[in-house]
Amino acid sequence: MRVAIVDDQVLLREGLARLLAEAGMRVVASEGDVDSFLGAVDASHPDVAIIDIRLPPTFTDEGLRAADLLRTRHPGTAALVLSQYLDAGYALRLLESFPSGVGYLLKDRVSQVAVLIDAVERVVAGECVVDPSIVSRLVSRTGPAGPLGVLTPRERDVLGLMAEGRTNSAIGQRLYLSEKTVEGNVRRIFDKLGLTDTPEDDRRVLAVLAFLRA
Amino acid sequence: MPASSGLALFPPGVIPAIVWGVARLVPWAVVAAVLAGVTANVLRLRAEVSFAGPSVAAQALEIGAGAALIVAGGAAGRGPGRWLLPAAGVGWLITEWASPAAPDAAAFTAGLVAVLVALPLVLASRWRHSPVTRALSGLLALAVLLALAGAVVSGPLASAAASPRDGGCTDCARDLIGIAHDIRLNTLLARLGEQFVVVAGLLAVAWLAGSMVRARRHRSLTPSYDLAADVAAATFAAASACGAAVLLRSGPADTLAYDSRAAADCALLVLSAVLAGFALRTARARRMVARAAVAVADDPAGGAADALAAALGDPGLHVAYPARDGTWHDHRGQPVVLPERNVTMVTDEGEIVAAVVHGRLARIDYASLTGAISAARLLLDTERLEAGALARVNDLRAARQQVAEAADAARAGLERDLHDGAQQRLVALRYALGLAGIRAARRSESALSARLTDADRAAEQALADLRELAHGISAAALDVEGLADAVRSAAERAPGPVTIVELPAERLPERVERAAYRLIADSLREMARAPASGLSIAVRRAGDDLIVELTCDRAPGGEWPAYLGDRVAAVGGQLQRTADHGHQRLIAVLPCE
Repeated sequence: MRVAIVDDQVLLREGLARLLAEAGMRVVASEGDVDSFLGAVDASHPDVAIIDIRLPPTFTDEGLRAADLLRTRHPGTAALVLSQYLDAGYALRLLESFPSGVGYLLKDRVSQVAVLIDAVERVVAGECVVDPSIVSRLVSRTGPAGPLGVLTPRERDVLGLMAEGRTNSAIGQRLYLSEKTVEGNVRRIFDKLGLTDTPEDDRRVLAVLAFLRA
Repeated sequence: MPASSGLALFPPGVIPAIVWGVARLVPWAVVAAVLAGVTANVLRLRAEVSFAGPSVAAQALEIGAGAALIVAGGAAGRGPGRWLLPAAGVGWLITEWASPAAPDAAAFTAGLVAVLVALPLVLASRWRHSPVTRALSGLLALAVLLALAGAVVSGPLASAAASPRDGGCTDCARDLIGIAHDIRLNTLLARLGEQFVVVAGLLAVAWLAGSMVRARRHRSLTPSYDLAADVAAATFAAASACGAAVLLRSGPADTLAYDSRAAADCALLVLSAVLAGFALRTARARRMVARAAVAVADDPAGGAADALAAALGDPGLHVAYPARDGTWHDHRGQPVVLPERNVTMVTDEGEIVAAVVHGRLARIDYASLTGAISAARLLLDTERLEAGALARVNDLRAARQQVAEAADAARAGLERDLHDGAQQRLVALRYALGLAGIRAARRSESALSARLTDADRAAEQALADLRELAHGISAAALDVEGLADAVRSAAERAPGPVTIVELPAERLPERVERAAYRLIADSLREMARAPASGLSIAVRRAGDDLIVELTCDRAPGGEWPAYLGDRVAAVGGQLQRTADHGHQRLIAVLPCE
């Protein structure tokens, strides 16, 4: 697996590079700003890019713009955006312009190598990865009288995993259910919540997150 | 102002103004009547040596012109120049007393002395009545000085050089100031005086032509009192010049001299009529401003500027008040820039207390303006004091806003420092611990592995705490994503259930977004301190305001903390706390303009 990293902090670039190497991946580019990162990607064609969201010059949302540019210039390269804070608004923005093969995780979540490997493999496989803390925050915000009150506890669990970007089979493994059962749950959730996108659509993560946030 | 004023025969205020004006006229009318009577008698007895000539109509015209000038000049006069026109009228009449029919020597001498005094007085009365006159006053000043020299040379000096008796007028009264008997010098001085008058008259006509051109350039198309008075004064000057020229050529008993005198009479009558109209208008303007002042006292939304604009018929007029630092404010205390032209300073004992800024096309009528300003004086003083106080309030509000902005900047700086410093180091620490954990696990050092996991958990918790702390200090997403997004994110992190009813989609001024966000974020933080059963957030635009409405069953901590209002007040907003049906409500109105 070939990985490119962009983060303005050398300490973190190096720490991450070591973790990736330990996990058996090859870091082919490690840059501190958007321009040199895009140049390095042009030259090295990595499978996945790991992007810090706060980058020079304004340290606000340059990482999201870098992901947009990556999507247009190298549609085959997956992106994993890391951040100190998680903002559901940023997650939605990212998924809107980058509907598959993308991830948005808390920066220190990838210190656990298992999580790092899982996330990288999933985005490279074209799945979406959304930090579980975003999803739990969104789900817990709505009280029992909220829009999720119509769901059974099981359906809520399925909804949460769906929002994290898990596939039906991954949800099934997590909840010890058959894939068929999960599919049924997903369809019922979409019906109950009145979501118009089809449950099989690869934009379903975006639809579910947008619903939870509205 | 009564709305029915258009239906009345006279505009409101005119009839009392006429009554007051008539009362003021009485002393002048008495003076005019006495002088006119004496002059009429002189003319009746010796018409052949008069300036008016033998025609009774011409004599009546002359007496009427002089008397009218005394009365109208007396009624209309204001300020230091108020005596000039009545004096001119007196001079015009007593010129005729230099006649053998004069009642006594004193009257006879007065007539000799006053022979050319009317012209300089009339011209001087036009000295500073209009901006056009002011612009061309160099030429007018020269005309006045020359006419004055003519009057001095021709009257007193010539009479001193020789008396009419020396010239052969045997039935003339005694010349009281005659000190010599040099008839040649007398003739020379008299001719010199007439020459001065000719030149002065021509200069005055040139000044008139210039003032007409300037008036056209100013696009002041409505005939104004000042312009009419200027025209009358210059016509008088032209007729005087013509008369003097005729005297120089062919002596007094010439029909052309009589005609010139009649033309001068007509000019003086016109001037008197203009002054009378002007006096009426000024009185009306004072009346209108007095009424406007009463109206403004009832309705503080209006101002002295509105009252003056209505009274002077200049819709573009406004009033500015000086501040101690040399800047100017309107009556609401908002800073204004004073234009370089068309400004009249209102002074009180030499100190400027206000500036009246006239409309761009307004022709400034100083007499009216002076009357209007004196009527509105109390109002101007009140507004000046209010404007000063309001300006200080505005300064304080700006200072408070600056303090709030500085605090925001400090918060943002602190958040950035945490993000780039401690937080990054803790993340790096977790990366290192993760790496060490893998290696320990590979070497099957289970005790070390467990310790590393514990250490990593501690680092994770520290990072989570730090993250909440940094986010509470400042929301980095607010400036980029806007209020709606930042409030949603804050609500997601809230310790209790939050309902978002409404959020504005559009971006708002930065200071408003920050104030609204701080209010909401602080209220959410208060929920953690004293859990409320749920907070409902509604933020919406209403006209130029942003309304933030926070409702919960029980306000955090029993009631809303007082500090929440500070930030709202810093942007000039208002905070209202209400409780109804067990709901605690907080409504903030934040002005967006």
